[in-house]
Amino acid sequence: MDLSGQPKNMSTVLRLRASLLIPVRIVIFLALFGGWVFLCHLTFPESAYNFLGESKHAELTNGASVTQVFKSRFANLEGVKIRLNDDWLYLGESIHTRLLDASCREEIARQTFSYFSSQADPFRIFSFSRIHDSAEKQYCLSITYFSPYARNERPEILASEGGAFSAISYTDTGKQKIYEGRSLQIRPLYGADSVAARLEQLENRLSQYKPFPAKGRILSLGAMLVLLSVLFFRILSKELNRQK
Amino acid sequence: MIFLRISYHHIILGTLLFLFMAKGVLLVVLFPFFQQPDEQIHYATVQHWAEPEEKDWEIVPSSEEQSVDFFDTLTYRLTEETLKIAEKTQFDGVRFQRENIPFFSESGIGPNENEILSNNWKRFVEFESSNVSGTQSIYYWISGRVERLLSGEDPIIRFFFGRTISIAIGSLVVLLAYLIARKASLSAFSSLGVATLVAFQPMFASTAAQINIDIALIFSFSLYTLAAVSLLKYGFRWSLFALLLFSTVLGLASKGPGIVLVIVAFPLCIYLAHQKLRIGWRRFSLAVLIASLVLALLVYTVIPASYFVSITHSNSLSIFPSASDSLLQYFSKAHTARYFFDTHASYWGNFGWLDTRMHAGVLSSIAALEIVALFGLSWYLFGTTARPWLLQKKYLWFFIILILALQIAIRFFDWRFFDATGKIIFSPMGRYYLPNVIPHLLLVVSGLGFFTRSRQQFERLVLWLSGGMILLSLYSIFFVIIPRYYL
Repeated sequence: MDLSGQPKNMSTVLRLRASLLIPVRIVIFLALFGGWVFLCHLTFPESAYNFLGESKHAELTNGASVTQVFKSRFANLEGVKIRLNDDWLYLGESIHTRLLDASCREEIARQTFSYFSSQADPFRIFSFSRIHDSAEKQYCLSITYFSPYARNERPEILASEGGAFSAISYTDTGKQKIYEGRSLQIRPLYGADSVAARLEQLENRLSQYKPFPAKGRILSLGAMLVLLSVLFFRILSKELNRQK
Repeated sequence: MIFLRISYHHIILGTLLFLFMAKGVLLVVLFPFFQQPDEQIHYATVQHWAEPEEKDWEIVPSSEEQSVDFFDTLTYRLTEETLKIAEKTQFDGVRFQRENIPFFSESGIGPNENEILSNNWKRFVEFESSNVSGTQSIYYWISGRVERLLSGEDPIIRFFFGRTISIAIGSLVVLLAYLIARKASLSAFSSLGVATLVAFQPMFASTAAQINIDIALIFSFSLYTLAAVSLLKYGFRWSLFALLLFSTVLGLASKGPGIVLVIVAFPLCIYLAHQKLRIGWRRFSLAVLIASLVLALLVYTVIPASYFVSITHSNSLSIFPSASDSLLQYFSKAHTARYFFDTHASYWGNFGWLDTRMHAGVLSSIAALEIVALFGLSWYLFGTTARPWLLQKKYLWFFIILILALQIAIRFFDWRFFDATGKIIFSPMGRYYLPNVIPHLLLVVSGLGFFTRSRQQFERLVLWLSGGMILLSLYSIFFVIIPRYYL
């Protein structure tokens, strides 16, 4: 091998090795980013009831609100999942969600959904700052739709009736009607004081109705799987590198 | 040196298999009781196979049995234990309804868990005409024996351990993916990449973590593919032919679509005979004709007519005025963009009772990649451009035939059902096409690989695809399955 050729080949090898590290770095970055997103959005929806039977579709009226008072069973309320059929929200349209006190007068939090807002199918997630002392307190949820267009088919909010919802009602100001014995399909979302507490709560949920040896270890298994997957990909990439 | 090199690849393959099993265990415990397709029926069937030979309990005659409501599991004629567990875990309230989740307590013990653990419910079927599956599958035979072995354990242990049987079969499929790629002359690295793609394909991983006969069929198809690829590579050998026959019988003993393996074996054998005999086309055609007639006669006399009636629904009454009308309506209704997207979604990631779907953007990205691969594959197969680092065309043609045969078989069965009911049920379910997961992924890799210019570039592509599939799998676990049932 001639002297002039050697450094050139060496630099090619180094360049190739560096380029093979790119996918590994991307996978590690995405795995870490995914983990961060997962932990940031870790809230726990109310599970005491389900929406059984046929859903009622309540079409939203432009500029008019739909309100419902609901009870937060636990502390650390930090959001509400709302089942909206609004996949076809047009550019310029919006849905304003507000959390108010039990009398539906004083605003506590608000969030606006637009054409660009992402949806956690099949729910919209109305999130707000954690309310630490929310246990056994009542709040009012208000949903208002605004549109510059005169549309035939407008976004809908879904509702259920009977069973667990017989003592609940909601008000549709657009139709000027109170719907007794019927509830909007909403679930309060609860957080926790720390990431560790959130993970513990998730572990508790995952462990229910699971074999005894798996109880309390499911999240650890998940974390191990992420680490091993990334490590395996690193080994695979290293093998390609070694071959070259 | 060569020995060391092979050993190192084996270690990586072993690591992949371990990872697949660990992922399988995680998936096994992530899906709540019976929240996989027809799992309550499959588990009750396993319990039925585990029953003692002497049935000393009272059987409810058909005349006294109540009618079954598909959406109300409590009306099913299964084992009492299965029905009670379904009730206690709110099975009906959660399946098909992605807005619903089970009721959770504040601790790690479910609200009705102690009742399930200390139950005295019957584990046998007490109905003359039950809803357990009538399929005689090797999977039920194995699972029934395991269920019997674990009869002293609580139902939670028995059920979740039952799911792990599928992990064991699934890991054999991953191993076969590596072997098939190697036999088809891919490099050791690329073969590891293909095995990684199979191991992390989200729907395959989910199928390998549930109580269902599908995994046995996937294994049979994979073993058959290995035998066929080996025969195409080395020519006719008795040992390989025996493997082909064994996998065909295994397929037939797994699930109905195993018949596809018999159908594909015929042209394969003709091809192999032509390679070996080296006689003129005229004489060869005559020999094929005679062989076909003999085979048809053999099939007609040996296989009972009831088998053909069951797979063709030939005794059902058509709701259409004519067969052509029925076919035309079926083609226009079952081959719409919506159904294609549903099939694509449930092949890649629509978990549980097809109510836990990946984000549409993710599915569209996969579809775009597959379209590019299809374009590359067509260019490669019909063009003259050489790509020595890709699979030889004969293997790719075989994979296409195998995929088409399964597609036609499932669509034929679907049409027969449509003919009698007017409903399209089977063909949109992507999981029914999973038996060809290895050929499919090899075709995708080859199609995309057509656009590479060297073996090095191709292997880098395989590495990128493997990384993408690993991320897709992690995404499906943490952002699709966990939020669906727990958040």
